[in-house]
Amino acid sequence: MSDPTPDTNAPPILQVRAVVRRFREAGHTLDILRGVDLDVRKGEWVSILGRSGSGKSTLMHLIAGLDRVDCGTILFDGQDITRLRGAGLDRYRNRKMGLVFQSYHLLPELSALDNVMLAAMMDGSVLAWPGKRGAVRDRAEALLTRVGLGGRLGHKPAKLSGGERQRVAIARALINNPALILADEPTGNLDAETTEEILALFGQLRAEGHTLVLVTHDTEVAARGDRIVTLKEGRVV
Amino acid sequence: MYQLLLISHYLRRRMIPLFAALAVTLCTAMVIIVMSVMGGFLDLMRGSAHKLTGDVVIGNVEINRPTGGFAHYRELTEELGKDPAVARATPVIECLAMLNMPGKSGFYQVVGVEGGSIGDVLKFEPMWKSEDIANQMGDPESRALWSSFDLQKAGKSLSLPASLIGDRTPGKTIPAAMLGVEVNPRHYRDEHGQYSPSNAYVGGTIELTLVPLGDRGQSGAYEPKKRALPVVNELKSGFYEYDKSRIYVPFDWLQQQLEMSERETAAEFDPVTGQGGAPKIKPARCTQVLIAGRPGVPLDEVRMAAERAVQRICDRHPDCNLDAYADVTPWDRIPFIRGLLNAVKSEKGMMTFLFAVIGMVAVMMVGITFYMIVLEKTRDIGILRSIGASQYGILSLFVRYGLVIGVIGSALGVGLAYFVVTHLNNLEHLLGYNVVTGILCNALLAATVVAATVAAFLSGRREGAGFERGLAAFLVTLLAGSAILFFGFTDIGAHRPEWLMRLDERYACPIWDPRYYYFDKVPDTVNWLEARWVAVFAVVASVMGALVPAVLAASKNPVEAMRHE
Repeated sequence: MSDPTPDTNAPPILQVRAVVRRFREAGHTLDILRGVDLDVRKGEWVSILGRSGSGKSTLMHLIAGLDRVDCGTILFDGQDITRLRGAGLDRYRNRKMGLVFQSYHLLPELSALDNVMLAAMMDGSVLAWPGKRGAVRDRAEALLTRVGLGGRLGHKPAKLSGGERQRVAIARALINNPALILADEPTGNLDAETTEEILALFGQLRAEGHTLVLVTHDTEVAARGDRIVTLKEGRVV
Repeated sequence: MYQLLLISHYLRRRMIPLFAALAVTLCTAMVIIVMSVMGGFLDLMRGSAHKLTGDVVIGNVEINRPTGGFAHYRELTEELGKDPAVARATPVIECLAMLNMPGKSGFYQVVGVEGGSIGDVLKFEPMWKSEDIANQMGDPESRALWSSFDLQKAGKSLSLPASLIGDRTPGKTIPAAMLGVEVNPRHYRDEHGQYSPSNAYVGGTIELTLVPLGDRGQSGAYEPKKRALPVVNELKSGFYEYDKSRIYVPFDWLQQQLEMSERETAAEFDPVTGQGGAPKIKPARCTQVLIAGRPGVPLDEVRMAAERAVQRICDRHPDCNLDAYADVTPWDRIPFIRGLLNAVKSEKGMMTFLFAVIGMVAVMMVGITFYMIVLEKTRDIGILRSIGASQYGILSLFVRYGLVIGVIGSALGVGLAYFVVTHLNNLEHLLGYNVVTGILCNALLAATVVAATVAAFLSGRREGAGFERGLAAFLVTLLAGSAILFFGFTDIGAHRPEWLMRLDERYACPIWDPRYYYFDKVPDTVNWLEARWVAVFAVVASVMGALVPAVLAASKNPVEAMRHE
């Protein structure tokens, strides 16, 4: 469906092994993930399909390092991220992952440009910032232009449509040139036309060699990927 | 780096931090105003008391324990004059005497000073000028007579031209007294704290009953003496306790009346030879030597110079009583002065403490504000964590936010305190004496604030406008209204209509009445050293207030934070 075709013999960039995640609530234990295994190769677009409550968002949070496994391992580029703590984990999220959410999760006070630049400002000191500010700004402007928002750099999220906000979120996910883009229901809040535009954008990214994991409940959206992994009641089926 | 970007946006787009900064501003200003006013009173008292004592006193400083004084004071002053730490030294005699004058009698402190030392060691100016007194005279001859000499100069020399009592000898003067202004029973202070020359007792006569003491301070050695002296001027030092109890007279005159000048004693009977012994010369005595240090010389060095001089005189005259009666005391250690200053110091400390406790409101306000900000920003915290912000980064974001609010708040607080303190007397007078005018002005000010708020609200609601525009409208309207009122304030008293003036007089309720307080005006100088520490404390308090919510923010689970609605 997208070119170039990923090398099926290449070692996986992401390896999820026997991951278990439980939540305890009001004295009950809910098994959300019950031993999930998943491999993602470099340059591959994997769609994780599942109904609400199947554990797909939880899996995405675990891969992104936003949550912790109860059991199992997640290897990214050979490194077990379940063992990462503190600054190591923060750097992993900032440098290796590019996250796109259903609700866009942009900071309302910042302009589109500042929202995109923000992720590049996490690293380094105040003193180092003036030296790299120009380069970061240029890259953020280029990314926003690329996603079709070159004329809306200074607009706050409140002044953008849903599709435009999601484009800003995608540009923010790309600012640090991450090894993996994780998208959680990125078209969940969008109309059909805008959904098509966003998926086309993901297709372009895939064509450029980016690795994508897209979580969705929509089979048509999932079908745009190279491979579909279906989650049901916390297990890959 | 992202923290600075976010802080700059959070500050511009939220009302809550504005209120936190306002709380810090008001608390900072409140503490600085209290410290400045109380410190100002303390400084006024210190300055006034210092004027009357010089820097260091040699001799008895307890007026209620009179002594016969000590001899060789001329040698002592000469010795002191050679010391580079000392600018000038002068002998003084202090004693208690009975005063009789129209409307008043009682015991007062009579101080004999050498005329030339007034304005030099004792740094005060006589109150009345020739024209003040001459203008009170009914007949042209008296007016011309009182205008013919410099009354302030006469006050400093404690003498009056003999022509005033009918002695036409050219250049001849007679000894005269200078009264502490509150000794004169006719005086009262008007609403501005001023005395009227029409009540001055200059030219009048007082009667002093003096009790000479023996050279060991023993009473009964001499008969009490009753002497009359004309009054040459009056003195307001600013130190009420002295101005209500002191009468200044010429040193030589008092020394003579108290039998303290040099004299030859009768020959004593010698039981061995059966004849009278040789007559003895008893040297002249004074009770104190006041010393003015050279400018910039520390008080301790002047004290040590005095101690060295006393020691040299004691070595030279082993039989003298200097070591017994010539204690060396820096001016601020004089028990009477120290007691009063310590009382004011304690009051200042207590007031500052109480207001600092109230100032804790600012910390609570910042704490509550930040807790609300953290609640409001929970989702943002989750987003920031998801794109790589560390816990420390989130912590430092809110701590820096608190720091910025603290710096802005305390800087504005210092500015507000400066404005209030430097205009305290104007505002006090307006609100105290022009009370109705004050209420009208305040009503106008309140109307300005309401207008500013409405302007901000309407401006903020308009399509395309935001918080910044609303805030700008608020500030512009408030500043414009305040400026109009403030510049109106300065001149409003003089241009009040008649009916307003009558209402002001009828409902006057002065909050600071110089008729009852000895100082003419409320101190209006900011102590910048203290203000600096208060500002630093306010900044630290703001950071502390932000710390707990910041820790809460940093410890939030990113996934849960992002789900926060």
